[in-house]
Amino acid sequence: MIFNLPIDITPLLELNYLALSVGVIVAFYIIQVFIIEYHLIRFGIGSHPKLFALVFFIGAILIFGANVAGFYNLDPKEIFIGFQKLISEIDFRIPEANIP
Amino acid sequence: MSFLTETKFSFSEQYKDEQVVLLLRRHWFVILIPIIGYILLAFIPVLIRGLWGDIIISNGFGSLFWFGAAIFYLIWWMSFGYRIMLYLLDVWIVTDHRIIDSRQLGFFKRIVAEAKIDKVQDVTTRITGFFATILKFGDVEIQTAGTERNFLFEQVPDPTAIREKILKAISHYRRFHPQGWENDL
Repeated sequence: MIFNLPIDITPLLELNYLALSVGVIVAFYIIQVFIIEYHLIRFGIGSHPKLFALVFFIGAILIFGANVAGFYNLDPKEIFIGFQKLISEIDFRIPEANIP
Repeated sequence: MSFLTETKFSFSEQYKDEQVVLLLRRHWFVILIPIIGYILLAFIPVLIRGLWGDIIISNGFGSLFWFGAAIFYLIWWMSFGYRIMLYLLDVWIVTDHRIIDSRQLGFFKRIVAEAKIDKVQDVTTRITGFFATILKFGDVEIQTAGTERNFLFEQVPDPTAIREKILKAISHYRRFHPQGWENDL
């Protein structure tokens, strides 16, 4: 039995999955950075946790910036051509058996 | 920036007029080995770039490599921060009233135990191993009376001095609070 559901999956196919997966990683990163900062400030006793919280926060921002820059410098066309070139160079033939 | 260097070691469950005698974390040597591990891990993208950099760039994967390296450092920094956080939040506090053992075992697992200082019966120090002897760190075991739990300060710096300070704090407490804990608050 075939169901004709009135669902158009074209928008799903048009989604930028790379951007989406990077978005998920970054969202996870931001949440984790927040939790670490929260724990260090909320439960940290003495000056060391606060000092590390500051260093960690600055580092987190810098690495986040590097990721954003890295993402915008990605050239999907170049990567696609690179993969095509790589695949074309692979010899898929089964080597002949060397029977004496 | 003095708030980052000057501290009174206050904590959230602190009683009024309660003074912190000791705030203890594990010896820096304990965290040094993971830090060295993380530093070595940080060189992985640099190593890959050095070994196969030309192949990666000539095949058009230069931008992908740098993006992958950025993602790697993102995960690396998170993991490093988490490890240091666990180290910094694992503390033992000796106040002029209590002994507190505060352990962070993950993001959402925190164990805090405390005992009244006048219940302390015996303090034992234990230094075992080559590095522990050289760098003067070890364990301090505190045995308490009755149903109160025992405490183990693990890999803390200068355990002998810690034992002396704890014993001094106990005698100080007993001298000035002969009525005991309940009448003191």
